[in-house]
Amino acid sequence: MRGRQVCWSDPKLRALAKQFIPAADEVWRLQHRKDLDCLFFQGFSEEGHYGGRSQPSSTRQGIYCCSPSGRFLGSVNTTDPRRMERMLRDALAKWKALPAKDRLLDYDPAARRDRIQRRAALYPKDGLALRVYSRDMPRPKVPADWRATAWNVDSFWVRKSEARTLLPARLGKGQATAWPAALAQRLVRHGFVDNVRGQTNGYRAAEVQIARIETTVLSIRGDLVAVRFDGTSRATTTGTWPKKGRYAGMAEHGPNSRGVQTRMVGTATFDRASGRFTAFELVAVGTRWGQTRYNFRQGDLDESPIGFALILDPEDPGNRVAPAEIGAYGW
Amino acid sequence: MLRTFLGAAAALAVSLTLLSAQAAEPEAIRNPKAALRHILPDKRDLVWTQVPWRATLWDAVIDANREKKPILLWAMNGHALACT
Repeated sequence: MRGRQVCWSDPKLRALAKQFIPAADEVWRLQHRKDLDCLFFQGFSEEGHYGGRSQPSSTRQGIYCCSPSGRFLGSVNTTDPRRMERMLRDALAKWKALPAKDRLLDYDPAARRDRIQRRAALYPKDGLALRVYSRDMPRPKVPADWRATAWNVDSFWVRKSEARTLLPARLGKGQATAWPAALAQRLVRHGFVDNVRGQTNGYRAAEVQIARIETTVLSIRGDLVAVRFDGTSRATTTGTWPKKGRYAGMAEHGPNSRGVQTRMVGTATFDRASGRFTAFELVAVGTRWGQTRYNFRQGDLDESPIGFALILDPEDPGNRVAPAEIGAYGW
Repeated sequence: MLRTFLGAAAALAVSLTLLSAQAAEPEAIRNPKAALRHILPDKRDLVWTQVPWRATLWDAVIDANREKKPILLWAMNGHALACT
């Protein structure tokens, strides 16, 4: 999260990245699964900065450089651009010193792509794929660092069969319907979460007090149905979870409360011919409070304004990332 | 009796907090386009996307093997191109 602003917006690092083939990926899967790409990662990651470590955390997250053959060239986990620069330069020197015969795989990796299972394959290409952006709304006191402009993004996916249920069964101007409870809950549980500064947990179904979204037909022109959305949401939970310290051994466990409540308004256009939304904008604004272990809200526990913006996911098959909590979708 | 009272109190608390939230952001609801502009990332926010990140490690392996270049992997808890 912070790395986007502090490291990968740095001109020197972006210039250095041109000498590599850059990739971003989710580390838990790479660390733990047995797919081809995961084994590839496991083949060099133990030579890196967190190699062999289990305390205070067993994560292997960070920046790694390797050859296409899987030879380790360097790694670091930092948001200090100059430390990152040193690691990249060192890795490039090692790459140049690596004998040509050791640099590449002796098979075509494209031919083995289908051995890899990823949840991005669940992308609802005939349904509704949205990006959910989150950001703090204007507030009186703003931290004088990266948190002032922090934002995040996740995905929200709706299958084709579900997408039609967001509209009234009978389409006519003024007709209205409530979103099916399961879909409204999916959005509130997994979309409206305080991930502005870093990843967080969603809510369990029982932790959603309000998930009401209504669709009203504004107009119909040919196959194009223009609609308006209005809604309210509230999800909150109390319990005991790590509230201080980023890692298990440092965590201070204690009673906690967290929540998000919003009001929503938006518009969309649904094309009856294709059965797809061709435009979609939904804004949800309200307040958040509390913290989770990794969302950098320490010292910012009181209610403060938050906003979410949902827009259509740009059609980019090479850049599809599944929703963070797609495991809870039941797909 | 007590349970009914507590239930009503809880419902009232939810309503009051919702009302306070409604009072806090009517402008954003009245002007959702402005709220959208505030929330969505702008050019400065997206400078990091000028690096042509592949969305998976294996996509990078394929391209790196073909182009004979080393791989730079940004591996985070939570996908670095999405919610991390």
